[in-house]
Amino acid sequence: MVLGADATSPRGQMLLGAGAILTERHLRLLAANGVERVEVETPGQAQGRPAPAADPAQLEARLETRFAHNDTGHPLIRELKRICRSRNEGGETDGD
Amino acid sequence: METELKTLVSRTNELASLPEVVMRAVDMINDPDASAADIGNVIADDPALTARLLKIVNSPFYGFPSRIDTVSRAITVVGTLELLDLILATSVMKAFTGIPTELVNMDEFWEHSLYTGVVSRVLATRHRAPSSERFFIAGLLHDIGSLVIYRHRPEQAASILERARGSVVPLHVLEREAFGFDHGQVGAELMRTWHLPEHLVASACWHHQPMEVDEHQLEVAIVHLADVIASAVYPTASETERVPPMDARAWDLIGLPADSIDSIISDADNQFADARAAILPSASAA
Repeated sequence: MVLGADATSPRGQMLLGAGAILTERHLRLLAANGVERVEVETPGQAQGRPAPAADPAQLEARLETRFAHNDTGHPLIRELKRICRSRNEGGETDGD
Repeated sequence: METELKTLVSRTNELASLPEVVMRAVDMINDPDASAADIGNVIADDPALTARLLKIVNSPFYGFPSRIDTVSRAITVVGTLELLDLILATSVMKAFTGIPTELVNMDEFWEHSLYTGVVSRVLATRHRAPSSERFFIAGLLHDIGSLVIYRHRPEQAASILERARGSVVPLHVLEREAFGFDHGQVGAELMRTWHLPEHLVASACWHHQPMEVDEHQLEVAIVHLADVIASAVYPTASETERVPPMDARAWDLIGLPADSIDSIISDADNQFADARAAILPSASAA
């Protein structure tokens, strides 16, 4: 499990940086420092990757923007667009 | 503009030079009298580089059945040119520090580059091009000119990235309007000062205009397509969020059917995890 955002104590002291691989020891130490919850990366979603689109209209708008420099009638671009769509629908943004 | 490009690169070279041992190894490529053993001896002078190389060639990304314990054995198994390419890759990645983090997340930058390298390797294998490792390194290093721009022209770079996000004009064209050159040309100029092989220089220089190059056209076309594919399926939050324009002639040149893209991406996804663990600095440190 990977820490998705910096973990800080209730007083704002930095305890553990985003990207750290969380161990049992980390969780114990965080709890001991008053941290009740941390943000973790969901599987297959690396740090900084765009979050999946919330609804089909948002997804289509985002794909439209992302492929704006390309001829979406070209077979390769059409396929790439289809794959992006299905990865988003499946909640995946990469292939890990 | 040529003068400004050279000034930019020479300032980078002062701060991000390649280690002496790497420069000597690179120069040996062009020396017909140098043997694999000579090159092995040069590399063995640098224990950290030797350790990095052996880690990579023993990783699942390469998948050799038996363990490789020495540089000379690695040269025999992997090949001299491929090993030199790997030396360059790992050394270039370590050479860049001090890039403003508000402009680019370095982990994301190298992940995109690495994914482009892996897709380049898969496309080259599907095309049955000899020595697919060359393509991997060409893909991995295609964008290093952006790092030069981020470091030495941070304010202009931020403004260009912002404009690119809302523009129908691609990033490399906006760079040319602002600077008179784009990140591909900057990367190529830096590679020339480092005496890197011509196919790497060409791939960096022309990866947004793959059909304007006379030599190394296959390498350039494959890196161009890999960049498009990686930008589409492996986007990062800090980039322009736009897939760069694909030149259909490059796709025609490699002659693969569009419906093979699913399996190409599947192969790339599988190789990416191994490549990341073996090569990315942050993954190595973890």
